[in-house]
Amino acid sequence: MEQAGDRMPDRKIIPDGKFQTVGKSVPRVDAFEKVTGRAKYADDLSMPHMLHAVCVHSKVPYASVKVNAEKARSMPGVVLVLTEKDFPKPQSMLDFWYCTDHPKFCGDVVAVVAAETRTQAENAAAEVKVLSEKLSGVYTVQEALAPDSPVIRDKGVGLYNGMPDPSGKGNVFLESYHPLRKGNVADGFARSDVILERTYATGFVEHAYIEPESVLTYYDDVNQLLTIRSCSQQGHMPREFVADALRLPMNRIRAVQCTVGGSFGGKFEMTGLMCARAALVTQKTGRPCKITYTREDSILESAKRHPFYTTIRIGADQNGKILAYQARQLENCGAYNNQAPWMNIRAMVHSAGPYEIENVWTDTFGVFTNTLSPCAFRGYSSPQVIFGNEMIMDELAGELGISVLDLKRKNLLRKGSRTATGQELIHETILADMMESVAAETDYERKEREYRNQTGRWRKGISLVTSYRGSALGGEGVDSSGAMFTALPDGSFILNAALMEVGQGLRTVYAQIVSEASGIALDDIMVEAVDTHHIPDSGLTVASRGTAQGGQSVKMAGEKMKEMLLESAAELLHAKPEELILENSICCVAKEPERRITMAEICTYRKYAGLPLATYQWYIPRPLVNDEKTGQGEAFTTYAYGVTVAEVLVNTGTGEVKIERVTAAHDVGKAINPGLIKGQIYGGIMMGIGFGLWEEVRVPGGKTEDTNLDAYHIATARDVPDIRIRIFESRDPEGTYGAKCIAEAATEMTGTAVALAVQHAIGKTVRRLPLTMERIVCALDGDAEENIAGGLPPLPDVR
Amino acid sequence: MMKEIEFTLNGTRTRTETQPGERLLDLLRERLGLTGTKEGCGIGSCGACTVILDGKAVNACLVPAQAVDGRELVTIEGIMQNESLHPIQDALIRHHAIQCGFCTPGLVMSAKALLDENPDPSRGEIQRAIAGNLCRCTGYEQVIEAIQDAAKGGKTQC
Repeated sequence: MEQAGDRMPDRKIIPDGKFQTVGKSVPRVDAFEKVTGRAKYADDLSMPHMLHAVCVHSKVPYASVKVNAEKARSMPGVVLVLTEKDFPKPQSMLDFWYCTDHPKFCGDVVAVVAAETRTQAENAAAEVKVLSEKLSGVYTVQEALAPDSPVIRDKGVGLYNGMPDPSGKGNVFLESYHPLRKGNVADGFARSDVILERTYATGFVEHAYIEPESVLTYYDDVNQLLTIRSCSQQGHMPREFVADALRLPMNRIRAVQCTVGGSFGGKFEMTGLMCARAALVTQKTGRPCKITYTREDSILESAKRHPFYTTIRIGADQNGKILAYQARQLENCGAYNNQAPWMNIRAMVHSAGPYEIENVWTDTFGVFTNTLSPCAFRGYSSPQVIFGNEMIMDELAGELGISVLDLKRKNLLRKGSRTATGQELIHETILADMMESVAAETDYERKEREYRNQTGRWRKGISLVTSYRGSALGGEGVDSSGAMFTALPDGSFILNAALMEVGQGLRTVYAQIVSEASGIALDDIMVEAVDTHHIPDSGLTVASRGTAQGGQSVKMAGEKMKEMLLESAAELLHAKPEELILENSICCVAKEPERRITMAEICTYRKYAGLPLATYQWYIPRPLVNDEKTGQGEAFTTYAYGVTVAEVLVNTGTGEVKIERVTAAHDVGKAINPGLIKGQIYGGIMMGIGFGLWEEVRVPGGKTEDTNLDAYHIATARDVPDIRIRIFESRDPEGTYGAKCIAEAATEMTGTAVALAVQHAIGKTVRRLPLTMERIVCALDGDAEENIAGGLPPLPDVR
Repeated sequence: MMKEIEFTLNGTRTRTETQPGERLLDLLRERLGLTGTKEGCGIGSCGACTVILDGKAVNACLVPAQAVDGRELVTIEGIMQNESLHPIQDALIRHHAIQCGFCTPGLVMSAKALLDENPDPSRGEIQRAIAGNLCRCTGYEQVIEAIQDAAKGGKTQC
């Protein structure tokens, strides 16, 4: 038997105090299969006698429908057509419908057609007759809030004094409401020398992962488990959807992850619904069933980023100290919504931006509309929240006649500051230092002054945006996690963890963490795919929590394994465990390095001695206490800080924007893998530029034409500006090896930064994203400024 | 009517049946089991299905299968030499230029078509050559650097 240790004869013991793999840009563990095309995504799988199913979408945004599938059923190759009545439980536990006769948005599925081939299924789907009796719906936030509007959800409530009112009916989503109350805002405004009130708006944004959704279900060959292979970003949730839809015990359903072609928060609910639809076909026919969406179906049905209307009232004294802050963050929640109740905790906590303000009053809630269905999307409210806050800070600085840097210097959070939720920042808080460093590096202040009075066709603009971000889930949800680490007799190891590799590099980072903790060499560790029958659920792969919090149990499993290995090594080497070192899969007596033993010898010994070769560890984070009525309390264990500077050139004739340079600085706590972190930042920046300048799924009257990548534009390689990345590390005890988060931090500031830079270049205020060429031209042409606040209720009277 | 075609696929003479209207992408993925070529949009916008036909990078979703009759086609499955990675593949790994990986095969093919024709491209030429390959994860920067590195035959450790 080849022994794992033999394959790497040149391994060295690492000097004391240095990390073995943490902090190194090791290549991805899944790089080879991905770069050779051998990695299998859900649609790459096929099985004998597999059926292909196609979902028929309503296309009508709000209606009562009758589905006539008579002709479709008679078409060649068609095996069955499912409608609402065929589903044991047609509405999912997360609000959305597996299949419905009462669509509330154009992406609702009214029928599922299964046939022998994909083409046959598509042909039959085109012959499913959907007779729609159209209902009167609401297609904008303003319509949803207008008096006497149709109430589209039974659970919708009304408004009173600009706040949700459970005693009235309306379209407000009560469960999404999170108020924040700190200090006395009326008093703060009374003492203010300057008070501004502005409203800012953002649109629907598509995740646009390059892999459209695909799922495959079948009965496995041993236990007849209903098995799911899918593109879901959640390892365990497909099982819950199928158990829910089919009324089956969860232990009869197994989900095994596929390679996932990007998700960014979007491959969760809709993918779960698809799993259930395919599973019902499999249950009814006994045959494997695949559903792969076209890009058009994907954009029509899949989640989007929530559009926000943010109205902010801010008061400051003449020196620039902010004395009062009031805001209403009002989002379009679509027809169904599983995320806003959680997302709005984050939106509420961060509502007042990275500033220390004594008096804060904010109301965050969504309304139902017959548009698209927003869910989680990279940032989870922060791109929209940052847009409102950073734009009004810029206007406030202008009003006060001071530079925005001076305004920030007076108000930024520092160590010992209290956040809007009253949480004292007890860990290193390096935001102000980061800002000074980036401002100096980019020569921000000189350029900002120089660009003030330009006259040419092309004009330059520069902006600086600051942010802070609660790391991982914190008070938003359950941040526990579990991991199992197994030794094999040849000295190789398997790690099973329950959070998902979706492209972000989690398998690589977990290999690094468990390697570091156990002393096992990186190459001797295999990080397994998530399989519901191999590892218990550890919650959702969301909130940039995979490394900082998901990694905690991985580290614990590594540490426990090290303890087990050293215990046996001590016996075999006739030494005490504390006299030994174990690093890079080499175990020896510290003072006599020639007294050594291989992992294979230790593991083989443990096998025949009947000692455990595996450990399962569970991490429980420290509790956080919040008051739901005021939002006051400890919201997150720690925060990550960021600064972005954007430099643009704007063509004042055409509205074209050339982004010349983006400088992004991020406090990541500890950089476990700098190469992967840079990848997150580059990708986050390009996605953020799209949010700022181009990307919007337009939904007039509840319908959209923007259903493929020719109409919905994302950044290409030609759009890449000069990008400068600054990774800051800070000493922070909360996350795994001090890691904070990056995936979402990387994208949240960029859209605002480019829009603000354009604002500076053209000298016109920007209040709506995306800031398209058309909008820039309209602003420059001196068109009457859009009244974004029109049709929205006034802010609550706080006196 | 099924029609037999014959073409060179990854260096091997290949005969296969095709249907009228069948896309090259379906021929590869479904009939020949070559799933490294991906479908992302079906309209030639994303480049995930990029293959090299007679030396040019093309979107397999836009090419009728029967159009490859008598021609030379290279897919992602055909570019390793003697079981070792193509220099572009190797560079993408070293530069951390892969995330979810779904667009990666198409990017590799576009980059290969470029370097086969222009072994020393400028940064701008690289950006143009891969502008039809959408990637939502990487932001392209490390991809561009990797292709530059591969062109220089470099072994930059990143």
